[in-house]
Parts: sequence; C-alpha cells; structure tokens
Amino acid sequence: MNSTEYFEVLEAGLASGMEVAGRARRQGKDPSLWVEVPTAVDLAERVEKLIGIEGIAARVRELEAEGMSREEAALAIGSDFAAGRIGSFSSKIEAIDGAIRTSVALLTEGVVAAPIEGIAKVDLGKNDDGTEYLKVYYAGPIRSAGGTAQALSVLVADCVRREVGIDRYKPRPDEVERYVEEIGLYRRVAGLQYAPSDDEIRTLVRNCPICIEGEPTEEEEVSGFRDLERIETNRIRGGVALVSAEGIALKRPKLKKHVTKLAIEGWDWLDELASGGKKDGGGTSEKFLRDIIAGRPVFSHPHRPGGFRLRYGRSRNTGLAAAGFSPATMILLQDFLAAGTQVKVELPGKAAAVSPVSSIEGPTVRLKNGDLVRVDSAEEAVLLRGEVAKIVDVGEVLISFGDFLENNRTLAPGSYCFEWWAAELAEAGGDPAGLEAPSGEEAIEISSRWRVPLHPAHTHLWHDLSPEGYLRLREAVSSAGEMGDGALSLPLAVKEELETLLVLHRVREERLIVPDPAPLLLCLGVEAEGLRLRELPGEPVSEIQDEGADGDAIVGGEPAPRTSLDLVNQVAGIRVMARAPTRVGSRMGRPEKSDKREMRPPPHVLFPTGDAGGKSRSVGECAKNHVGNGKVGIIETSIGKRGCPQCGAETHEFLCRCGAHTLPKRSCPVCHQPGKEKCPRCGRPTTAADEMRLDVKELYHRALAHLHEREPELVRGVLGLTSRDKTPESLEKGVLRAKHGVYIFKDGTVRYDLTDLPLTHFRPREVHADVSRLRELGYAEDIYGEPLRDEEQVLELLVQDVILSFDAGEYLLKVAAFVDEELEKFYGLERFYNARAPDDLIGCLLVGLAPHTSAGVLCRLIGYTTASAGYGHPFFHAAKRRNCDGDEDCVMLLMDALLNFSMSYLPEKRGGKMDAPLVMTTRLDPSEVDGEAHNLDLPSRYPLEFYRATLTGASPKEVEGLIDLVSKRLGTEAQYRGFKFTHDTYDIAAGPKNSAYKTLETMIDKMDAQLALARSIRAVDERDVATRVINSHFLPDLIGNLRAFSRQKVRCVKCGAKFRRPLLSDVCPKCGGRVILTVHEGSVRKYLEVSMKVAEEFGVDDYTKQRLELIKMDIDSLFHNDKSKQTGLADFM
Amino acid sequence: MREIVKRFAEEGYMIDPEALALIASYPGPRDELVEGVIRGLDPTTLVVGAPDVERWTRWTDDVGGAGSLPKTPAPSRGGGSLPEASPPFSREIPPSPPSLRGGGDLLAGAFATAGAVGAPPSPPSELTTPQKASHPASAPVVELSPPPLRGGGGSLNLPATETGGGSFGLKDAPNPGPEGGSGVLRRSSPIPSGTEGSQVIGPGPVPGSAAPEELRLPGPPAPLEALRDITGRSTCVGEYQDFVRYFRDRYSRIREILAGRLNARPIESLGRGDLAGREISIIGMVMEVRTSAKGNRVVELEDPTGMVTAIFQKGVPGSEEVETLVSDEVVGVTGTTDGKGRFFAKALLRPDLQARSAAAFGEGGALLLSDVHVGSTYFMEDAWDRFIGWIRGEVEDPLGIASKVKYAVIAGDLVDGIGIYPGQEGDLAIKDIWEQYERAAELVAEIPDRISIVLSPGNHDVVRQAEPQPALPERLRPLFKKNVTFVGNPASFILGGVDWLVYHGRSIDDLVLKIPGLSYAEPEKAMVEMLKRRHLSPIYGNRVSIAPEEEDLLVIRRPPAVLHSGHVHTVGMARYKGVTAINSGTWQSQTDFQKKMNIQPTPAIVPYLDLSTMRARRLIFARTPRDDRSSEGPLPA
Repeated sequence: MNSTEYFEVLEAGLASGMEVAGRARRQGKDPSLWVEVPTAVDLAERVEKLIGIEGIAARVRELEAEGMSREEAALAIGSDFAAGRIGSFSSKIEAIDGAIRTSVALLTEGVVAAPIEGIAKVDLGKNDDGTEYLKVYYAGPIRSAGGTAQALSVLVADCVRREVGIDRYKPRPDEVERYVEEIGLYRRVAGLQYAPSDDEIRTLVRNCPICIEGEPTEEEEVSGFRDLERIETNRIRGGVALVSAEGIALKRPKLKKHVTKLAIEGWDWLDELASGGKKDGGGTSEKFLRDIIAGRPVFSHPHRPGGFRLRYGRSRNTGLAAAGFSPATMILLQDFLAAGTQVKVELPGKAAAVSPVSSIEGPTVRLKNGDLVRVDSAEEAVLLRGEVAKIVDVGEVLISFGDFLENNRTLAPGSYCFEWWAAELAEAGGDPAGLEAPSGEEAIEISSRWRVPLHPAHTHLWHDLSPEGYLRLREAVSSAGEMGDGALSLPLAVKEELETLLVLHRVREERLIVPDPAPLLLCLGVEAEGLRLRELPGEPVSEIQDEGADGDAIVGGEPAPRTSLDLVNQVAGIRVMARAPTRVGSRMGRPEKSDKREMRPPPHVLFPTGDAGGKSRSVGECAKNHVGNGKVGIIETSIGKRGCPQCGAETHEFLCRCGAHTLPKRSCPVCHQPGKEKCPRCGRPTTAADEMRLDVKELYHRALAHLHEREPELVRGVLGLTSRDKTPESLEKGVLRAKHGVYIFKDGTVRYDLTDLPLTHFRPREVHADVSRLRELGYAEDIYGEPLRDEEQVLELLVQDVILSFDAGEYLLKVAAFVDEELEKFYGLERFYNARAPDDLIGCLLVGLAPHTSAGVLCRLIGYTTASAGYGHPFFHAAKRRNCDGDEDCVMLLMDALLNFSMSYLPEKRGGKMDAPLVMTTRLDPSEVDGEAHNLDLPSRYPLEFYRATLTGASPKEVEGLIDLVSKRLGTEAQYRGFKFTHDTYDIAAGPKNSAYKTLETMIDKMDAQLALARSIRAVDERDVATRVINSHFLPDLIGNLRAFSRQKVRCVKCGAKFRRPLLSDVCPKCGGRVILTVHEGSVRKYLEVSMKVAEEFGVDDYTKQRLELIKMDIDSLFHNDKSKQTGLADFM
Repeated sequence: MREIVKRFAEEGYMIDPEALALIASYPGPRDELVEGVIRGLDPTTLVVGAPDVERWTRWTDDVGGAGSLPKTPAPSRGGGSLPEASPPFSREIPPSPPSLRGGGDLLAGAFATAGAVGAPPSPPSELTTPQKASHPASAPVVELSPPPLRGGGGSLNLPATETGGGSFGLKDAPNPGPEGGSGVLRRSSPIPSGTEGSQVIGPGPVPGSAAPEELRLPGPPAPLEALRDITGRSTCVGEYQDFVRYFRDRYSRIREILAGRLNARPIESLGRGDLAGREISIIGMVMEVRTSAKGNRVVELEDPTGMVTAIFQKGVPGSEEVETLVSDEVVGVTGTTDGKGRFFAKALLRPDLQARSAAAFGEGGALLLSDVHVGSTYFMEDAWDRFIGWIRGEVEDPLGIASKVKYAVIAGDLVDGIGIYPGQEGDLAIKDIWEQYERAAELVAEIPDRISIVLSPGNHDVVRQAEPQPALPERLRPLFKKNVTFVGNPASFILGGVDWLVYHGRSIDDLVLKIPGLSYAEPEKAMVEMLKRRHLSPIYGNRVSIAPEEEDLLVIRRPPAVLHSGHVHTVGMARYKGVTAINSGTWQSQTDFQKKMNIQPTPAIVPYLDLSTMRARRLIFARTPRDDRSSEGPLPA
C-alpha cells in the first residue's frame, strides 16, 4: 500500500466516525450540536484552527509558496496583521495579540499550547517620557514553544509595534535590576537551561524594545526590587525568565540571523550578549549524576571501565533519543531496565529511553564460581541471574548517529565492532559474510591475509589495562601458563588482569582456563608453542611512565609505546583496535509507564456533587443528600445556566423539555449584565455559571431510567466544575462509564498513558497480530518485497500505525464497550466497535495527544506488545512534538474523542487548554513534524569513513553527508518508505516487562536494591552513590519534612478542608469535624535511621555524616518533652 | 475631643477645659501627648490642669533636657498603662544612619564611633518612630560629648520597677497582667560574675516577695537573671494538641493586653441577629488577609469560638495600619456585623506598647554582637582581632569605652554551621561543626574575663531550627570560659539592671516580605513591628519554623528595655516607646548569595549600649581605606 492509499484508508475511517458522531451530536445532548475536534490536513490549517482567526491558513500557504522558511513566514505574517490584511480587530492591541500568537503557532507547527496559553495578554505601558510601549505578558506554558519561537515572538512584536506606531520600552534602572534578581531567582527555583550573566540581562532589558512581562508563576517573591510601580507582582514571573534567558539570550545567533536578513533596526545590542547559542558538545559531563534519587540506580559512573560501551547504529526500535540495550543487560541489572524505562546518560543528550536490542553485546559477569562469562541472550541471563558475583562490564549501548546529530554532540570514538571490521575487510577486498564469530586462529589468519585489524570478537580491552598489568600478565603467561586441550591455563593471580581485559575464562582447580587463547598470546607477545616470550620493542614502560605528562615524549627518536594498547600493536604484528574507547555513564531516570489516566479522585462524569457527594464525590450519595426541610437529593451548586431559544425556559440541561437545544446564558458575575464575551458595563469576562438548586435525585433516576440501567455501585462526579461556564456532562455518560469502569480526564475523554518508543519496522510475531489481519490493514509485503506470509517477516511500519501494551488494549476494550452503549442507549444509534476482545480493536483509529500540546494526531492500532510502552513511528511521535527520551503521552479512542470532547468542559485556569484535542492532524507530513525526526538516520550500515571520523572527534555535521537521513528525503515518496536499520533485534519487548523500580514495594526495598547493584557493578562507585542518595534525596527530604512539620497546614478529616495554620478551636469551623496534622513525626523521621545506617555502612564523608547527626539532634529536640524526662529522673531518684 | 476626655477618665482623671484646649491645640500627635501627660501625672492628681500639660510640652522643647525631670515617678493606677519609673525627658540625639558621616575624622586606632542613639529618649513626637529618628536635621554627625547627665543621681539608678503585687516572670508565676508587667521585678540571689563558671539559664528560681525597697539598693554586680527561656523546658512532642495549645497561648496572652483597651465579644456571638447593625468589638488572630477586587482588605479573624470575615473598606482613616496586617497576629477590631457572618470593620487596634517615654536604667556598658559566623570563609578575622585589641585595651581608646564594658550579648549565629543552605560546603573554611565551635570558643575567650558574656543561638547554630531554640548543647559548653552564660532563643533576662529580650531575628525575613516599607537595610523597623504586635515572630508557616510549646515564648509579654536581634547582618537602632531596639550586624563579609539578593551587610560594627544612660553608639572595626592614616593619631575629639 502506498502512502496515498494509506492516508485514504485513514481518512475514510475518520469520515465514517465523524458521520456517526455528527449524528449523535446533532441530537443536542451535548454542549454543542457538532463534533468539537476540528480536523486539519496540514500545518496552515492547524494554525488557523488553533488560533481561531480566519484567513491565516490561506496566507500561510501563500507565504510557503513564495519559498519562505517557517521562521520567515512567521515574521512576515506579523506585518499582515499590522496592516489589517488578516482578521478584523477593534484595536491595535488585539491585532498585535493575534500577530504574536499566530507567529508562535507557526513556529511550533501548530501543535503546542504555547500560542494560546503561553501568551497571557498584550498591553500598553507608559514610558517616563510620556510615550507608549508594548508589554507582552508571557505565562508558564510558553516553555513548550522552545527558545527559538520564544525569541522570535519578541521580534515579531517589535516589527508589529513599529508598524502601528508604538514607541520602544524605556526601562527604569530599578526595573532592569528587578529582571536581574528575578531571572537569577527563577534559575534557582525552577532551573534554566542557560543562565545569562547579570550584565547580559542588563543589556538585554535595557535594549529590548519590547517589555517582556509575565504572569507570576512561582510562589517565591523577589526580595530586593519589590513594589515597582510598573511591575504588578513581586512574585517570580516564569515566562519572563524563560523568554529572556532561554529565548533571547540562548538563541541570540538565530535571532541575529533574522534581524540581519530583514534589516530590522535597534537590535545591534544582540552582539553585546556574550556567547549564546548551543555549545558544541565536547567532552562528557557528570551532570547526569546530579540529583540522583533513592531507588533509581546508577549503572555506570562517567568514563569508567566496565561502563556502557558506545556502539554506533540504529535498530528498528531505537533512534529519536531511544537507545538500544541488550536484553541480558536489562535483566542482569536486577531488572531495573525495561523497554521504555528512562535512563539519564552522559551522551549524546541528557536522557534516553531503553529499547531492547538483542544483536549487541550483553554484560560480562564474574559468576560465584569465579568464571568470567559474557551473557548475550535474555534466556542465559535469566538462568544465570542468581549466580552473578560481580558485573565486570555492563555491555554495549547502541546509539544512532542521528542522536549525535540532533544534539550536535562531537562524535565519540566508537567501539570496535563487527560492522566496522566488516567494512574494513570489504574495503580490503574480503568478504565478511558469515564471519561474525571466527575462531582465534581464523581471526589472526584473516587479519594477516587482508591486513585488517584483529576481529573484534578477539579484541580485548587493552586500553583498560595498565602497562604494569600488561607486563605482569605477559610474565605470568610465560612463566606459569600451561597449554592443554587448546586452552591456556593460568594461575589465579592474574584474574584481575583477565577481568580488566574481558578475557573470558573458567576457574577449575584453582586455575584460570582461557579457551581459544591464540589472539591473547599474540597480543601479549607470547609464542603459542612453549609459551616463550618474544622480545618487546621500545623502552621499558615504567621509565616512560615517569615522564608524566601525555605530551609526545620521544625516546630514541621514536614515539615510545606507553599504553598497553600501543605495546600490543607493536608486538602483535597485526593491528589491534580499541575495543571500548568510549564508556557512557548512565543512571536510571523515570520508570516506564503504561497505565490509564486518572485524575484525583478519578471521576466518571463531569457533574458537580459538592460536599454532598462525600469524599468519593458519589452521585448516588448526592441523590440521597438530605438538607434541612425534607426534600431529598437537592444540592446547591454553581452550574452553567442555559436558555432555550424556542420556549425561553432556563435550565442547566442541553435539551430543553420542549426538545430544542439550549444555549449558555452568560452574564457578568458582578454587574449581572448579559454579554456574550465581556460585560458591556465593566468589561469583565462573562460567565453562564450561576448558583442553582439541582435535583440530583430526579436527574440521576431519570438518567438510569433513560438507559434502562440499574444503579452502578458508584458513579463518581466532581466536587465542582472549573470551566468558564461550568458546563456539566449528562449523567447518563457517567452511569455508563461507571458500569464499564472507565474514568475521564478534564475534557470528557478517556485516556490511556504510555511511554513513547520509536519503531520503524516490526515482525507480526512481536505485535501479536494475525498475518491475515495485517495484510488487510495494508501490510502486503515485507521489506524485501516478498508477500507477507509468516510472522517472522520484517515489515515497515506505516507512519500513523501504533502498537500498544496489552494492558492498554484491555482498557480500550472497556472504552469501546462504553462508547457502544453510549451510542446505543444514550443516542439511540448503532453500536460502532462491537469488540469482544482486544484483538477486535486492531485496525481501529485512535487519537494520540501529548501533554503541553493541543493538537491530536490520528493513528491506527495494529497490534499489541508485552512491553509497558507504546510503539509508534518516529514521525508520529514527532508530530506530537515528543521524542523518545522517556516522554509519555496518551491515546484516546477516536469515537470517544469525537462524541465526548467539548471545549466547554475545559478549566478556565492557565494551562487549561493544554492536553486537549483542540485540533487533530489527520495526515502526517514529515515536513511538518518536529525537526528532530528529520535527523533520524536510515541506512542499513554506516560507512567506514564514519567510523574513522569518530576516532578523530569529528563534529556530526562533518559526516552528515555520508549518511542517509530523513531530511534528505523530505518531499519525496521516499520520505515514507524504504527505511533501513543497522542492527536487528529479536523481540521489541524483550527483557523485563516492568522495571524493578515499579515492582519493588517500599522505598527502602528500592534503595537496598540500588545499593546492592552499586556494589556489584564494577563501573559504579558505591560510596559515591550512597553519598549522593543521602545528599540529594534523604537529606533534602529530612530537612524538608522537618521544616514542613514546623510550618504545616492542618486538615479536617471529615470535609477535607485545609487550613493554613492550626486552629484555635478544637473542631473544623466549616463542618465541626476533627482536625488533624498533615505532617507527623513519622514522616519526619522516616528516612533518618536508614540514612544513618547507609552513611555508616558505605563510609560517606564526615560532612554528610555530621549533617545527619545534627538533623537527628534537631528531630529529637523537637519531639522530645524535656519535662517528662525530668519527672522520670526525679521519680527514679 | 471626646476621646481625650474618655482617655483621662479611663485612667481615673478629670480634665480641666483649659488643659483640654491646650491639648487640642497641640500640633504634634495628640495621642502621644495625652499618654505623655498621663504618665507625668502625680498619683495624687484628680483634675488635670493646664500646668500638667504645659510641663509636658515644655520638656519636649527643652533642648539638652538636663534637669528636666518629672517630679516623681508616677506609677499608673490602671491595669493597662506602663508603670515604670519615669526618667527625665530630654531632647536627644536619634540614631544616625548606618553610613558614617564625617568619614575619616572619626576613625582612630582600631575603631571609630559614629553617631549615637540619644538617651534618654526624647518625647514621642520626635523619636518614637524610627522614620523620624533618622531625620537628618536632628542627626548629628557624631556624638562625642558625654550624654547629658541626669539629675537625681543614684536614687534614680533603679532597675525598672513595676507596681502591683505578685511575682514576675516565670511561667509558674501568677499571670502578670495585661501589660505583663504588673508584677514586681526583683533580683533573685545575685550571682557574682565569673565565679560560678558558665551559667546556663534554666527555670530560674522564682523571685521571692521581698519588699520593693530592697530594689533601691544597688546590689553587687548581678550579671544575669534569667526570666524566660526554653532551655530544658521544651514540652512539644509533635501532636496536634501541641499546636492548638501553642496558638491558644499566643491568643490569650495578647488578648489580655487588648482586653484592657476594648470590650470584645466572642466571634461566635456575631451570628446573633440582635447584634446586627450595632457597633461591637472582637479580638481575633488573623487567619488570612487579602485584598479584594475592589481594593478592600478582607481579613479572616479567628478566636477559640469561631471565625469571621472582617472587611476593611479601602481608603478609610487608619487603613495604612490595615495594610500592614500580617497572618497570625492578634488584633482587636471594632465595627458592625450584618448578622450573617460578615463584619464591617471600622477600626483596628494593635496590642502596641503604650506610649512610654522612659526606659529603665541600669549600670555598665554592653556590647551587642551577633552573626559572627566562625568557620565561614567570609568570617572577618582581621576585624575581630582589631575588636579584641580594642576591648583588651591594647590600643588607644580616647573615649574610654572599652573599660566601661561589663557585658557582651551575642544574639545567635556564633558559627556558620553546616548544611544550613545548599552548597554551603564550598563556603566553609572549617567544615567540621565541632571544630567551628572550638575555634569560636577560642575567639570568644579573647574577650577579657571581666566581661560577662551571654550567648544565644541562631539558625546557624547546632540547636534545633524550630523556635524557640534551646541554649547550645551541654557538650559544647566546656569549650567556653566561665564568663559565658548560655541562653536560648529567644531569651529574656535582666543584665546590668535592665530587662533584655534577645531574639535572633529569623522572623525579619518574613516581616520584610510581608510588610510594605520594611527592608533588610533597616532591620530596626522590623523590630518595631514586632513590638507593635507584641510578638517576635507573628507570621506562621513561612520562613520561621516553630516548635509548638505549651507557652508561646515569642510573645512580648512585658516591654523590655532592650530588644536585641541579629540575623540580617545590618546594624540598625531605634527607640520605640521606651524600648531600645538594636540589630547588631555581623562579622561576615558580603557573601555571593547576599550579593545576588541585593543584601548589603554592615559587618564588623558593634553597637555599644551604655546601660546607665541608654545611649547607644556604633563601634566600627571594619577596615576602611583611611585606616592606615587614622591609626597613627588619637581620635580627634
């Protein structure tokens, strides 16, 4: 099936869903008479629908047709607004507002919520010289726009301001200093990717022609520059810090480029900002070790022998920030890694998702009997897990070139691996086919014949062994070694050297048995016959070592060998490569997720129960509510008032008794003047919400009767509604959801959350789908063009197809059952899904939606996986603006979204419109997804030049030309088909199903496991781990709880009311219930003992120990009654 | 006018119309005049005449003030006013601003003096508010001449006296009454200085009921008499009831002060319909305070019977006071109720000190120190050495202050501590907490033995963070010499014959954030706010941690003669209604953190307080650019 056919299939499915949903909505049982998820085929349409101003889409397409880049178009469209070519606005402020939002929307592919939620408002201020200036109020969600869009939004505002004739902002000195303090404070409180210096901030604020304003986002207040006349709040304004630091300062070069190109005046000061721009990632950092958390283990410290060995390549389930790990590694790391688990890494980005790749090397472990073995398969790992004494090496990590390119990270030298060697052999004229694991003799023979380096399977980690160790081993082999049965027997004394080299061996009768020792002997310069020593070239190593510095100490005119690897290369006669020159430090980040989304407490229906519903917000409870004089089931609540256009009746229901669809009746909450959007008198936004008496009993029983349902055990509503008009849902929907056990999110849809993992190819076996069903879905051929026949064939994943966890399938099945009953019993229409098992849902359409975004992406379910994650095409994830470094997002059943979503349910508060399907992308165009996916690499092998370039620390940009990338295929049919991968994997769900972090119960268990693992991994310094856990988790926790105890709020057990401070009265003034503390001695002491024990056991430093001691003293002093002690003593005397 | 008559009537006086007219024509704050007049009255007076008023106004105009003495100390009869001995009034010198006017002229030897807090205090119209106190017109460059001598000599050299019966102070004692001061203040058996080793304040002996006359005899030097302190008496075990008891104690103690000034009803009774529309008063603890959309101040007030929402309309007289309302302070409010739970407030009454022009007087001089931060890389050891050189008489001291010093009080943060803030390790010269104290003890030991030292902890010390904090733990005490006495935080005690209240000052962080007009640069203003609220740390739940003890030791029950704080690293001095409030600065130079936070510390400046005159000076030990030159000659007089 080609892509056109594929999209047609999807669109046909969507159309049939739309048709059914449209019929249902037209019955008037919902807030509106139409489906509220607008669809958009392309970016232009998406932007227009997100912003809600007509004419945008047409203009965007025009600008694109002129060949403008997205960024240029964003700036150009600003002038259109200013000149009145787009939209009709009543004031220049409104036009500027529209212009800024549109350009931000364009820059963010019309996906994220930043343009609607990240810009609170635009306003005018007065300069001291009497002129006006423009203030743009940024809010927290501007973060989701990213630095470039943030910075360019300021530039757009500047261009528009000039065109409508507003002066520049002239800050007062106090205001400049306020920014300096505030941005510094924000960095400490919330963190910033880039922190400009104080002087940079001053330059920026003094010169920026737009006043970057913002809503307060943090609780903290500035303390130095407070109560400034023109700045309304003393609290920290997160948007201001983000736009100034991560926007303008960090993206200075990009901003500069546009300023120069468009010749915009007044931005010369950008040159005064220090560096800006992303630093080219050189070297590595220990940043990933920061803030380690109890229970989330460190797998390897930076650069350490025994840590993850960097192997370049992409498997069909890696890339887009997902890295490959051997399933054996995942199991032997005490099951802490599962598919989808996030790991924080040293390279190439900050984090990565774990994807099982069975074709790379697993860990090398010392067993309890002393044997050193490498475990490559999951089966072996399971068998041996109880036998492991030490994890000498954690195995390989597979990272794609695309991830280095995306992060602009200098290429680190790659491990010498089979594909590299194969490329060299091929270059030399040999044929590497079938030579994955030659014997030692064979390997030497091939290398000698073709003059290629020693085969990686026989290349040991010589660079990890000190020259002294090398000499010691060589000496021991010659003097104490014995050959027998083709194996070398060595004394126990050199076990450490062999382990360092990862020379696999057995321990038998107090001897180390090394099989197939020819390459080892060759490298050590020992004759296989008689174990005689061959002469070593060069000077004695120890003397050269004394030279100290690693400059080019020349001895006897020739560079002297000084590392073991140099020695090996001199003595072996064939080239021996560095087996693991780059080790990637890592630790566990977030665990993987695959679970239904539940709000707290989880509602079945957006219907207010108030206090009458009790803590569980039970609608049934509410219907039995008894107030004052007799009548049962009446509650007073704030709910949306609607009027019938036909008979004029007032109600909260969508359908009037006369049968007409009602409309919200808005009025001003203060003046009570009716008004559609704003109060005609005071200008406040109007609302339909009004205090009403609701007969819940009647409504509930009517709903049950209507559906012919018995009362479900518990129908959960919500305490109160939070949307602008306080629009409730029909109780019928709640009854049916309760019956089927599904819960809703704030927008009326049912969600299932999954960690994102990428997938470009799959085998029918892995996705547990019938071959015949897959053929029906369009998977006619495998990657080699063979017709699909059996479940082992590799198929290329269609871009909008997804594979979800089995658990997701079970839940979606419930949702489908709910939707079917809703259609049948509530709307009186045909059932839609008729699914009896999760398999029946295969082929159904879903909507994928990421947090912080407002655009859903249409997708199709084609199978299930045992992994606790959701596999989707990299383009699909990028369309949601996600990568796969541990992010999670959700899917909804298409019909659920179409039937039950309504804008009217969304909370009024800032951020309320995020994570809601305000628009839906139906057709995935790779040009219009997040640019990260353009860096995905697609070849089946990397060229030899690439591997060689890694040795010289090349920038990824230098070798970009050597590798097939998505960016090179954009705009052609090849952008969808013909992708390849360098490494295969047997099963995309191999390894543990869930991380041990999730299966271990208590924090103490998790931490014990973490510390046990730290002890068993050679690449991990357990003392450092213990110190960090105490310092970054336990101490802050102890101090925080201690502080919280002494400053705590209290809570009523009965009604749940919270009070800022303990009360003077004994009981809750609201309900008379008992009031209790929210922080107890137990929660303060919780980690004290275990911290002290760990500190002692792992020998953490004295400073940390003393801190713990002092906290213990503090806690004892607070919770100990001196007087009771005194009495006790007196009594005793 | 009616208020004036009423006020005199409350005190049991009638007022002559001529006197009333005189008061009415007074250009200054009338209330203060009234209070001043009342305090100046002879107990035998029945009708207040014009001369009584004139006499008071004359004092206020009396330049120099010497010899202008009230005829007799006039203890009041009413329960609510201040009964202390009335010292003379004199027009005096207010504290100078922190900056050193006159520059190098003032520097000599190792130190210089700059400015002085005038003592005794001048009339309220001049000096009761710190804002006015720093008025440049009345701030001399430096006060070098001896303070105006008071007439009357030794007989006036009394410790503060209180009228009325009962014993004072300790918690077991009968309630000291609305002002916390109706008990008789007596010395318990004085402890000779430095002879009994380091002293620790515990539950001291309850003062006996000796005759007041005993007090007139200046006894042997009594270094310190403990009054109130948590050390060894903590009762908190962390249960909910502890918190309730704690806040109820705060409420009832401050309520007692307010109850003498207004007739309050329980909040519960406001729901009664028959009260609707009538003017009534309530006393409540602030639960929440916010500004409504219309700009009104909406205050939720709580008492043990219930909660009510009081609304202060924007712009009504006295609304500036309402602006400064903070959570958890206890106030009286007068207004009308609508009978439905809303209360329209007209007036706000704080448990403020009553105007009192005179402080108590004692003997000897005291140095007020705090925030030494030994162990920090920012600790200014050089400056400390200069201070030691001066106090030991090793450098010239033309003013002869060093030899007059009998006491030194350290109000917390002797060491920098460990783990107080994230990343502190990098700022520490001594990373071991016990070594920090060893070093601190060595530094303190350089202060001559003849000086009694009182040591109170702060948030950097090794005692619990929650306030009240007990004295330094016993294992540390042997490090110090015998002239050091360990007290808690806060601590009230009598030293040199006057009442001290020492509080490290953590709450200043909260007050500066919440009360408009306060800043770290003028910590004394925050201290005045504490006095007005009768609480050292009114705001609960922000920066200050509290230990819910059965008694709220942070309530200022009885106005002290000296309120001494630190914590914010800036020197500040103010005189407020007879209380000398001093924040004592630091020995730590500006840290990077403070630089970021725009905090300008004033390190190595030591406030000196002459307890016999209550005159305060700043002794400057910070090295200035002119040091080299000025160290040559004697201080120009």
